[in-house]
Order: sequence, then C-alpha cells, then structure tokens
Amino acid sequence: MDALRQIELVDKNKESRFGFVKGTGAGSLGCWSSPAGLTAGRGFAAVYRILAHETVHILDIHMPTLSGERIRQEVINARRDAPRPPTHGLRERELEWRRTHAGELRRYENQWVALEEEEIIAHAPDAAQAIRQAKARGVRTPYVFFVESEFDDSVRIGL
Amino acid sequence: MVVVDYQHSFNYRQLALGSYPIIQIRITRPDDPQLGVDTDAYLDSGAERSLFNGHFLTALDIDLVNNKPKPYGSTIGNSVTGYLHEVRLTVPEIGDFNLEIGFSEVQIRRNLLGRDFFNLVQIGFRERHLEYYLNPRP
Repeated sequence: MDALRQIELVDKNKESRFGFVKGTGAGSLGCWSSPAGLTAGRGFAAVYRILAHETVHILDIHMPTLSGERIRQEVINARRDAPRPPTHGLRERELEWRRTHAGELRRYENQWVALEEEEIIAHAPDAAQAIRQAKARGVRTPYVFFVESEFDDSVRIGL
Repeated sequence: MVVVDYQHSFNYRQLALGSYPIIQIRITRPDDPQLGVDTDAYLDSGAERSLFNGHFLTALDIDLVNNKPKPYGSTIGNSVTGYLHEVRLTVPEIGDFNLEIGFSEVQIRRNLLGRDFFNLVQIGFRERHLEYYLNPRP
C-alpha cells in the first residue's frame, strides 16, 4: 500500500497549504487538491512532481479551485512532458557494445551477426548459418541481428 | 478524450542510417522454451501481420515449410510467401505472447512486428521524441 506523505505547497502569494500525497517514488507525478473551505474559503489544486525523497516540485498551481477537467488536463500535460526512464531491454550489454563499437560492426555489413556479451561469436550472409555457428559454440539462445550497410540510403517501408 | 498512461518507455534504436522503433524479443517454441533465439524486430504499424526471416526457425528446430503458406504483399504488388507458425515471443518487463507469425521463404533483413502483435499490447509512438511506449495489456 502507498504511504501518505505530508507536503507543504506554497502558492504565488506565499501562502502555505499542507496536504497529503501518496508516497510514491522520485519522479512520480500527482495531482492534489484541498476542498473549498479548508483553506480560507478557497479551493486549491496543484500538479506536482516528486523529485527526491522529500522534495516536491510544483509544476502548476491554481486558485481558486479548477474544474476537474482542467486539473485532469494539467496532469496529462505534466505526465506527457515528464522524462520517463527507459525500460530495460533483453540484451542491454550487447546493445551497449553495439552503441560503442559501431565502427567495428561495419566490417560485418550485410551479414547476420551473433553477439554474446562483448564478443561476436558468429557471422554469416544468412541467418541460419549464423545461428548454427553460435549454437555450435554452446550458446543456447543466441542474439542474432542483421548489420545494414550505412551506404544504403534508400527509404525503407517494411516489405 | 482517450488518455493512455504508459508504463514502459523505449528509446528508438540509433543505427548508422537513422533511428528506428526496434524492440528486442526472444522467440521460443511454445512446447520447448529451451529452443529459442534473441533478435531485433521493427515495430511496423503498417503491416497487417508480423513477418520474420524464415531462417530463424533453425534456432527452434522447426521446418519452415508447412501447410499454412500465406502471401505477404508489398505496396508495389510483389509478394513473398510466409509460412505461419505459432511461436512464443518474450519481451522483458512486458510479457510473453503466443503468436502465429509468418516466416519468410526468402531472406528478409528486417523482422517486422505488425498489427497482430499490436493487438496483444497497448503501444504508442512519439516520433518527435524518438520514443515508443508499451503497456502489457491491450
């Protein structure tokens, strides 16, 4: 269950409001509003981002109370523009090697390559051959991909 | 307005020729997960069905030719034959999916994941940011 964390929100007039937000991780986005009447008769709404354990960055703040649709839109906008950490893929180590050794890979242009960690264990003009070579080296599930020529400037449209 | 909150974000893959919506997947035999291969697939919203290089069936010890040939037509009218085989696709953090995929008779350089795969997940593209997003449920 999410823990509740009390935060202090300060609006443009330096007026403080306290509220509770769900204790999600850094980078989380949320929307918080207090009911009208609780804060001197004025409603209060904020879109916030939790930057670190105890830091809350207010992305947008509104007084008086905004319509539900406006708050919803603010949250959508904030979420859309928030940087998302990329999801980890299947072969991160191999991808990193491909990123940092693009020049070396050029030697295998127009071939299928089997890459295991940081070593090219097989390469062949057809994928079946590369797979067979990799399996012969004891790799049960090889990572096999095609190295396209960088001199081919045609536009690809699937098939 | 429909709003989708995506759980997973992926960067386009930067290759020599540009950036592409590529996803790494593991293909295995549904009846024997020990037989498989990892590879790259291009997310192709214009493809009605997925099409993979038939040579990848070598890794699964499956004969390409069966009684389920399917012509895959291109925009210029040419077509290649894909033989439909059910395989298991694994995408880390997203899930495992059984899917009947066409495996090409001729060698193709790019494995294509088409709308049959899109039907199993929720997917969104943000070309300007060179990112795509996935949710494990459609």
